[in-house]
Amino acid sequence: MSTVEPSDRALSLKPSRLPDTASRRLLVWLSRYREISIAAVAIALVAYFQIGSGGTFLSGQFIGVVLRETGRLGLIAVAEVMLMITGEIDLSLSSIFSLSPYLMSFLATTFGLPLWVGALIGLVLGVAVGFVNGIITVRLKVPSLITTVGTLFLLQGIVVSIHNSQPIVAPVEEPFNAIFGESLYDPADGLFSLHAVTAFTPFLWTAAVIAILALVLHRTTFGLHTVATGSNLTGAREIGIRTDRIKIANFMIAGALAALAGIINTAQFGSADPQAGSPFLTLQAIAAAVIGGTSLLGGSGTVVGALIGAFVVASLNNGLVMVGTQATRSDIYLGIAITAAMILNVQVDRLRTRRR
Amino acid sequence: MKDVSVEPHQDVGAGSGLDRRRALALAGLAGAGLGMGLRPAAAQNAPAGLPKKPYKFFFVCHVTLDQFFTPTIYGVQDACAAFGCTYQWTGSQKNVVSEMVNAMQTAIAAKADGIAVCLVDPTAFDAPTAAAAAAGIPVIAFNADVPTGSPNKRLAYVGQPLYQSGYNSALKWLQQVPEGGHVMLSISVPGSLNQQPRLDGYIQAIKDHGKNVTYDVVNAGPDPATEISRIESYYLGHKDVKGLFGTGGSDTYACGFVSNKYGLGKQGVPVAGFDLFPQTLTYIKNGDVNFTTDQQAYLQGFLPVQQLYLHKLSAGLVGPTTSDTSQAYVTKDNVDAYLAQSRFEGRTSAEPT
Repeated sequence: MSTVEPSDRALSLKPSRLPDTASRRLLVWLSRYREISIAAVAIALVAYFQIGSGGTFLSGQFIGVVLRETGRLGLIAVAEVMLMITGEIDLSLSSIFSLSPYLMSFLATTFGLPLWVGALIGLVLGVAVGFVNGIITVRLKVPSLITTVGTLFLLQGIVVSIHNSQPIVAPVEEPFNAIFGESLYDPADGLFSLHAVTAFTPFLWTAAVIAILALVLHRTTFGLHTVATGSNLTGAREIGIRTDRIKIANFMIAGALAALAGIINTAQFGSADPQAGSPFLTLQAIAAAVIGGTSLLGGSGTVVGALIGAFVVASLNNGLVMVGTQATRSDIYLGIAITAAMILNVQVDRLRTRRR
Repeated sequence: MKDVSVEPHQDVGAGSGLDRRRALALAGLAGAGLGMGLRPAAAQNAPAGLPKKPYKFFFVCHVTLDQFFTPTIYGVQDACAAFGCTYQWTGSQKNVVSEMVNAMQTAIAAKADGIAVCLVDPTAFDAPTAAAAAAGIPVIAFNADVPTGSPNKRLAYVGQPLYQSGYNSALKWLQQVPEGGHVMLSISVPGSLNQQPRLDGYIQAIKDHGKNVTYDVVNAGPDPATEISRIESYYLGHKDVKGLFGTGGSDTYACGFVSNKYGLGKQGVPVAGFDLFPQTLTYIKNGDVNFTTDQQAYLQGFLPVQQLYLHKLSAGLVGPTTSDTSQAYVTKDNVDAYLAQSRFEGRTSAEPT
């Protein structure tokens, strides 16, 4: 699947001293697909909320809410995964998430620019910010954690300066909005109508992006070099991989994905808010990526896992509210659940490494 | 407002508890009267008016970039232009009290002529406020205040009495909640000092109201998309809810979004909250939100400058006075005025003509 560790499968097939029991076979299976453990967590959560809510969790409407948020978090999470595989991180993604759609809406309302042109400009802006983050990190040798804290503030400052911090009511231009996230679904529509599909647009975009990135990581030289850069920087350089370029390219991909996520968010709600992307969004996305099985140390990561991780975080975010958790306690449960999911993940990973 | 010229002793509003807006209106009328040319003799006898003074005032805000304060900054700018003063807008971006305390200490070190500060912590500002007072720098609270009985040495508070405004707003929406109905109250950041007192006011009003109304408090989250998501989740899990009520600008917008999506306003489910997000106003116009409370952000900037200026100019004879700026509700009847491009609501930076 999409776990990126080239040597992993070969290793797990080696004969071992452990007896060939069912539990061992399960362990081997688990270790091949690290998404399995987190998928099990996701299924357990769904079951819990489904029972706790008396059957509402799996209703079409509620799953729509959760998948919409999964889409938003998931795009930022895979952006982080691409960087985390190379051993870097980007905290400025939440600011790009605010800036790109804000600029798009501002250009549309002030200069009458069509949304798709503004969206294109927003995407290019995201790529450019990624490029700058990358150059500062690899050429000027500033750790990416610091570089991107800098750009986080810089961009947030710019977005509130554009139009006096005012939220902009974004224009609605069809089919742009329908393609990028506006739900046209009405309970009167059939479940399999085109309108029903639009209820899930943000998720479908994320799923498509993840499918593409999984292919890129597994089937292309670029993907191979990305993993190599993160797992052994010196070694990768010695065999001729231009690791600096690889890192900068991944920063650019991450910037583009954050811009896309922001544009989808604005198309969905018809509003561009300068505070749309709080640093909380990036932190949740990083949590989703790690819950999904990506290492903070670089060299391994899974985009499919990040999507499942995002689903777990989104389910917690909304499920807790739905079952009526009071405001003062909800962050306690959210914190415990995220930590527990991470512990599980790290422990399963340890089991795996111990077996090698 | 630039040509407002009223002698200090004529400004009856400054010390007598006269409603500030009326006082301003009077001052405006007086200015307009002078501008339109009263009898030449009267004009000649009229005093030259207040001098412009290059006082520098520091505004220490808890969320310096928040769109809510855009009209506040305009109010500060207009008052500074009228009185010849300058200002610095500083504080914290994200409600970090220590950063605000640092900003106050910087203002004291810079020998500010006056400080206006959002007192978002019940005790943290007592020491820097006392230090400012010791240095002869007057301090006024704006937007958020310390609790009643606090030893804090601020001279006055300009803004919304948060708890009371929550209480009053709840009494207004409770009229539309049926006996024994269940409602949702939301807060973006539990415990935050500008939203929590409103929420406490909501809850007290529900208890005092005595129609057996029950409630859940939802932690809506820090950004609009999360707030919409969580409030929609709450609604889907509690479809019998008889009201959605926000305590801040963005969660009120989120309540409106959910109301609009599921047609709650049209089903007679009351939705209300605080502040003036442009989308909230659109929802009021469409009937998805019943009302929102306007706390007159412009005045929260204009009045502190005016009061600090007069205090300084009169060498302390004209004392700053506490001013309640939250008397306005935005409903379907008056929402059009709010939707217009007005500097007073921060929709445009252009000065009114």
